[in-house]
Amino acid sequence: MAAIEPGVNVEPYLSIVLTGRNDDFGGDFNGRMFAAAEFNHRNLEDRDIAHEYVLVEWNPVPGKRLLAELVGERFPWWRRYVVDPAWHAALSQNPRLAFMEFFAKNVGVRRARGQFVLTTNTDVWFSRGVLAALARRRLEVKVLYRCVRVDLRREIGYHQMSFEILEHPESVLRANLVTPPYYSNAAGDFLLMDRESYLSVGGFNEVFRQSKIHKDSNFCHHVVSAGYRAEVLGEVFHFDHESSWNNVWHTYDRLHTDAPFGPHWDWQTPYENVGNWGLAGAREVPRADGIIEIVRDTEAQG
Amino acid sequence: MSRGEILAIIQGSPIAGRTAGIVTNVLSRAVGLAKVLVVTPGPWRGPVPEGWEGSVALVPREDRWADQILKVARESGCRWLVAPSYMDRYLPGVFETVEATGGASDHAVIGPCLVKTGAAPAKVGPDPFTFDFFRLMFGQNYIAPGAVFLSAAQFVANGGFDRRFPTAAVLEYLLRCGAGGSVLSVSKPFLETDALPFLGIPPEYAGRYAIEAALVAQEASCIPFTPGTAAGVAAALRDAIRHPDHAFAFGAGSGDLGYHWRDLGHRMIREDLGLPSATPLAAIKEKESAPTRWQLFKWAVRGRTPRPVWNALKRTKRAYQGFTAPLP
Repeated sequence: MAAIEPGVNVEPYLSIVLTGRNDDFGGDFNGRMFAAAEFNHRNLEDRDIAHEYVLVEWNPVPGKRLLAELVGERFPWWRRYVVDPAWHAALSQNPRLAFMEFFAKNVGVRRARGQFVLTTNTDVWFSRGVLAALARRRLEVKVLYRCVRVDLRREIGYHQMSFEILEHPESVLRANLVTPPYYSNAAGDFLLMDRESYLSVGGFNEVFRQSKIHKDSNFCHHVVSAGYRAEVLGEVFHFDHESSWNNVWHTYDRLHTDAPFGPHWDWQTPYENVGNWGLAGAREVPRADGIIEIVRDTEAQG
Repeated sequence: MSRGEILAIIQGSPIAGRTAGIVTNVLSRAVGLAKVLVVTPGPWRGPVPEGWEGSVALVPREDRWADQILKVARESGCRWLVAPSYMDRYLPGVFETVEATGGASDHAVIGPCLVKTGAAPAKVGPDPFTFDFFRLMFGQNYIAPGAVFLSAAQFVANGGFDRRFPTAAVLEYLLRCGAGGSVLSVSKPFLETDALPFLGIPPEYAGRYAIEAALVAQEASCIPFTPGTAAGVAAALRDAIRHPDHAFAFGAGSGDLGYHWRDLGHRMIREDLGLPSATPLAAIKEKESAPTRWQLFKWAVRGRTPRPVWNALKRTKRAYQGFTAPLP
């Protein structure tokens, strides 16, 4: 089996870091995640690519089951972390912000074991080209690998998915092209780099805490400015859905001050995270069902 | 069960409703006259729509689609093949007209179509085909693929579609085999469709179609960029700019506009040599067969003949074939 079990102390080739919460973001969030995960896992296994999944649930929704619990029922071999809401309360500087995606991704990056770490989103389907590149095992260190995100029409439906449907010209809604020098467009859906480089550059920006948008572009800028090379690996597919930034950005004011994902900001701003970025020093409490809770002690520094 | 003289081959769409729309139209217009084959992208998803049982065959599209269609044509027992798109809607009596026009002959039957425009639909199509054939050669394509009923016997004899041109397959076939004079044209419109910007070609395929049509016309006329195809590419580009979601049809989604050109080039090389995809160049060279003596002679003559003279000879040959063909 190409997937690495949580208890097994083996360094996989690839760590896939996903984040989310059980808030039905975009409609049928969980359904999309399960469909994509099953598809990607099956194809990674077919190509014998040793991989692990790291799920980080940030600021769980009160009164609802944990996403990590639901995932555990389907994919018990995923490594699952739940971040105490107290961390969110301590770190967020914007009351509209319920989900700090890139803080959560940093949590996953710090705990990933793979030679290469892919931070992506739960509803991303890998293309044949990307899988072939991973299967060749020729990824280089100190290279930021990016992908063109191809948005697919939602009416296609994402169940019983096949490459023929994903690649079909009629499926395509739009392509989010990536261009030099920063290759930053729709970057949050595919940022692949060797683990050491991720750690060296210090993860995603944790200095700016008012917005979750543009953190991915900011990371691309940060990495390329640090002298790393960026390269396009191929395409990934993503189904258009409600609340997708592409669909809702125009409904907010010019600076997005009223948006739930936070306001616009200058994504070319340099940053340097503190040494314990990604909640590296936070206390971890394992549960019987395999979930690890990252708790915030009252005395701890946020 | 129907006589099933006509086989409608429909490329299944991943978008619910598109495939069902054209299948329902064909079933209602060709009661007892047509068989319907839906070539699906991957296995069929979901339940089979009501009324399709026994009338519609569903098969997944194979990598070597041209061979797949040729095999279907050979085994179907039908006399005509037609490949409508999801944008097409046949008008009443079309399938009867094809049967009556074709009679006992082995001729293809083609007709005009009504293009949906702002006010009243405009009639566009061949009338007669023999002269319009030259317009096709120069890339001015005014025939909707759904309005071309190919003779199955001829189709098999001619080796079917050229697998290098999956999007402009019907255009290529007409240019390759239409000069043989085995096409009958009808003045009564066959169907209603859109031109976005190409007749009967869905907009998602416009970029690919423009490129393939340009190459097909170039092969037929020996002119690098014929006026019609240049206009076609320009129109498709214009639409791609107006509707960025269609830009992917040009391969823009893969990072650069040249992607599709390169892909097409690779595909042409591979398909020419009958190789599966992703074959190393060494394997391609290995499979290349030795040229025949006739080919060697032809290449020697061509090498010593100035390019314009050689092209003029080729055009003369095609013109001769066109004019000596029996008029409908």
